[in-house]
Parts: sequence; structure tokens; C-alpha cells
Amino acid sequence: MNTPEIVVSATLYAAVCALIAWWASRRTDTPGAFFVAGRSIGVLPLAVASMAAALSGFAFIGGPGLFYAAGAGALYIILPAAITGALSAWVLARRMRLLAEVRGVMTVPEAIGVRYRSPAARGLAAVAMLIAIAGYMATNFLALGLIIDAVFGIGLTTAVIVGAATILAYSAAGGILAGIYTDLFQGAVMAIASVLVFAAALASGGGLGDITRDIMQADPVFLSPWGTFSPLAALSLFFVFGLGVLGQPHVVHKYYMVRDPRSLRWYPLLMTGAMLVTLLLLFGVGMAVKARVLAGDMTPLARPDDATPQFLLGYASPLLAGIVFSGVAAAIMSTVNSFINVGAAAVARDLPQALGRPLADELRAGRIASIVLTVAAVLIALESGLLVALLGLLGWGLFASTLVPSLAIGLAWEGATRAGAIASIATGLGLTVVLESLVWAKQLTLPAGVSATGITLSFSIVVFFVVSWLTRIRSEGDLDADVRMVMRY
Amino acid sequence: MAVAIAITMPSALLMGARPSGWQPWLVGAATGLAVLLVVVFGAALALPAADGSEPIIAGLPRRLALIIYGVGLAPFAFLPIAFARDFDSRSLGPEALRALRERCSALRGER
Repeated sequence: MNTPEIVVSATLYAAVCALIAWWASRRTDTPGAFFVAGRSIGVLPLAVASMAAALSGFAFIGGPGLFYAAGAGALYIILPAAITGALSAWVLARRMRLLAEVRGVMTVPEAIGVRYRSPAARGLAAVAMLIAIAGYMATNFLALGLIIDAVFGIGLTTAVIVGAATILAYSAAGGILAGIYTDLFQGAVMAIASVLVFAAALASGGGLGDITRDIMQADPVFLSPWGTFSPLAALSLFFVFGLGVLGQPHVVHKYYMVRDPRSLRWYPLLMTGAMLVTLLLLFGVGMAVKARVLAGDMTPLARPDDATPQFLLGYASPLLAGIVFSGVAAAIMSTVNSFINVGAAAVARDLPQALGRPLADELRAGRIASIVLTVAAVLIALESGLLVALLGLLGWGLFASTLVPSLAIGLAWEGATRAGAIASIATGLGLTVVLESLVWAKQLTLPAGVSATGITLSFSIVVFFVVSWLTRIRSEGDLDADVRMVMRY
Repeated sequence: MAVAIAITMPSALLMGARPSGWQPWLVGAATGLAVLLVVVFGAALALPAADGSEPIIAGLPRRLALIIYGVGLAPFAFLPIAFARDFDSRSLGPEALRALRERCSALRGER
């Protein structure tokens, strides 16, 4: 894979990222600049950066592979994308940005703490986020290492360390300010790569209609509405990834950063448009590779994750392959730098403040926390194959089950109580860890089509409502008058 | 599950409602989304199962085309527009925000 075009593309890409990071690091001199970019971001960079942070390497590698292997059922992970941008903006954007305005809130756990006047809820949310972030970062470092090793041939261990050090350099120096502008560049690379590959994918089979006919003749189930999944399994994915988006801290914390709140009017249009364009690659490669394999033009894939690399080697020019490999790296790096920032904020700001011991120099602490988190994630990625697999599974479920009720519903519903929030976060955290571990260790088999994340998300929402209702009489002081005003504003 | 999704997602959208004032664009978007989800998922479940002769619509077999274009793309045609129309920019201008900050600050002082 290390053709001159790919190496040159990857080197150019890295150089532009370094340049942006150098520029941003010179402007990052306060905790506000480090954690929320000084609330100075326009809506276009915000929307593209949110898209880039939301889509990890899954959109380029794992997603096309899953589609190739499981058929149309795999698409239910991305189908909610046309809805989630507007959903998230309607429920969270205005309220979170206004909390930042009146209370100086910078993090998701801080919003939860302010909403319920509860350091315990804030601390618990931060702990849940850190567990999920460690897993996400480790799996993404491993994926980035694979890409760097494939391009430069330096060995996986060295590649993981080089990749992590690169992201850490701009995340620690420039904070989220560097993150947003590298995300903007990375998001643009991802979108361009996706459109070009989608066109190449359609051309490889004579257009979408011909590709569909080829697949339908040999394997009609692949393009049935649920693919090889049951309807329940496919729809469960839609539910989990549709509603779970309200609890993804690395995406929703970007609402704090917008310079002019009035510009949020166009956020769903820009974010969703960028998201749909970038997801074209997943759909196109999955379809094209399946059709080519069924037609005998490609050998069946040894691993589903080979779908994109094999397609690029067979049907794309070296230059396009170079752009796409940069796009994959961009997808991973943009997600990881958001996680580093969110995780560093949890360590340097949320946990100390929740414990009643705020740090004097949060900027320095944030930079140190970025380094510690990155080193920990690299060690997990390199030293513990089993742990990284389990932690990778926990991520989305932990975010969804701990943050959707306490943050999204809590900011919309004045009847939510502190006890309800703490109970639902604890339930989401405990149940997700236990259930995912048991399923992963094959000690528990869920009924066909039922996902652990679907269960934990549903359960934590139910606990949130039930405990809030039971404690409604004792909850007079749970909501400050100014926060209530923001919620009603 | 399809019915649950058709209830849950629009209900989640309605969490974006402000307590005061009628928001026709939000209610319309939520209603439209509910109808869309019921119709599309219902049709995908009700239409005959796949075989090699399923008609192809816009490049995809009929039932999958319903799902991809109906759920995966159609909401993009109206949700962002409805959000933009519902968005109250006036209350987020510099003057309005300054007034909000002062009122909130006063409320905190009273506590």
C-alpha cells in the first residue's frame, strides 16, 4: 500500500495538520481557549468539526466491511444521520450554549452538575465518560497504527506511538482550538475522499442500478430491508444510534464553542449535509465490493474490514487511494482529539471541582491530563488485546445510557431530580459494564436482535423517570432559578 | 419496535420545545417524522419478501429504496429547514443575551 502517491498524500496531510496545530497553539493561553476554543468558532467549522468528530474510522473501514458482511441491516447504524443533527440541535444546542453564557459552563458533566446542583452527578458522569473515552481512544489508536504501518511500513508498535504522539502534540498544545480547525481540514478531506470513492464505486459496476441487479441475482437477502439481520436487530440499531447521539459528549460539547448563538440556526443543515456526503463511501464501497465479489472479479475478502483497502487497490487510482488513506487517518484523528479534550476536561476540571478541590491552573492540568490519557490509551492498545476489545464495545453504550437521560432529558424536563439523575447515571454505568462484559465473555446470550446498549439505554431512561417521580416532593432545591430560566428561555 | 421508534424519535424531538409559545414548525416536524417512520417501516415490513425479481426504484430494490430514501434521506429535506424556521434568533442577539445574563445573575444573587 505504500506507493509514492499514498506516501506523498499522507505526508502532505500531516504537514497541513501540523501547520494548523502550530497556529492554534499560539492562541491557546487560557482554560477557556483550551476547553471551548474561547467561544470563537463560526457555525461552518463547528458543523464540519462535529461531523468529523462523530465519524471515526468506522465510516471508512469498519462500516463498509460490516455492510459487505451483513448486508443492508448494517446501514441502520447510519440511517438515523438524517434525523440526529436536527434532533441534537433542537434538544441541546440552545440550552447548552446559554448555560455557557450565564454560568461559564465548559464541559458536559459540568452542565449536569449545574442542572441538578450536584457535584456527585457531575463526578459520576465524568467517571463514566473517562471509561468510555479510554476504550474509544485505545481502539482508534490501534486503527490509526494499522493505517500508518500500512503506508510507511514502520511496524505496528512504532506506528501506534507515532500516531498517538502526533494527535497528542496538537491536542495538548492547542487544545480544542487546534482540534476544531484540524477537524475542519480533516472533515473536508473525509468528505472529498468519500465523494470521489463513491463515484469510483458506482463506475466500477456500471452504476447503482446495475450493481443492484448483480447483487439481487446472486444474493437478494443482502439488499432486503434488513439484510442478514432480523427486523428487530436492525431497528434496535436505529433506536440506539438515533437516540444515543444525544449523549455523545465529544459532539455535543461543541455547542459551547459557537461564537454567535444565532448562527446555530443553520447548524443542522450544515452538519447533516456534511455527514450524509461523508457516509457515501460506506454505502458505495459496501455495494461495489459485494457486487464485484459475487461477479467473481474480486476474491472473497478474508476479513470484512479489508473491503475499503481492497476496493482502493483494485478500482481507484493511486492518487485517490492516497487521499482516502489520509481521509481514514483524518476520521480517526478528528475523533480522538475530541476525546482527548473531553477526557482532559473531565480530569482537570470536572473531577477536582466535583470533589470540592478545584485546580488553580486548569490549562496546565488539562495539558498534563491530555498526556496521561494518551499514554494510558496507548498502553491499553498495545498491551491488552482483550481489554481494548471490551472497552471498544463499551463506548457508545456508556455515553448513551449515562448522558441521554441526565443531560438531554434533564435539560428539557424541569421535573427531573438530582436523585433521578444520579440513579440513572449509576444504572447506565453499572449495567453497561456488567452486561457488555458478560456478553463479550460469552457468559450471557441476549435474545436474537436485542443489543446490550438498547437494554441499558432503555433501562437508564426508565430509572431516570421513575426515581425522579418518586423523589419529586423532596426535589425543591434541585434546580436553580437561573438554570430554570435558561431551560425556559 | 418500528412503532416504538416512530413514537420515541418524534417525542425526543419535542423535548426541544420551549415551555412558552406555540412552535408550529417543531410540532409539524415531529408529526411529519412520526408519519414518515410509520409509513416507511410499515411498508418495508408489509411488502412481499425479497427475491431476485423485486422492482428496482432509483437504483435500489423497492423495499430497500423505501428505507434508504424514506428514512435515510427524506428527513434531511425538512428537519433542518423546520429547525431554521423554528429558531428564535432575536432572543440570542447580543442585547438579549446581556439582559439574560443580568437577570440570571440577579436570580443567583437572590438565592
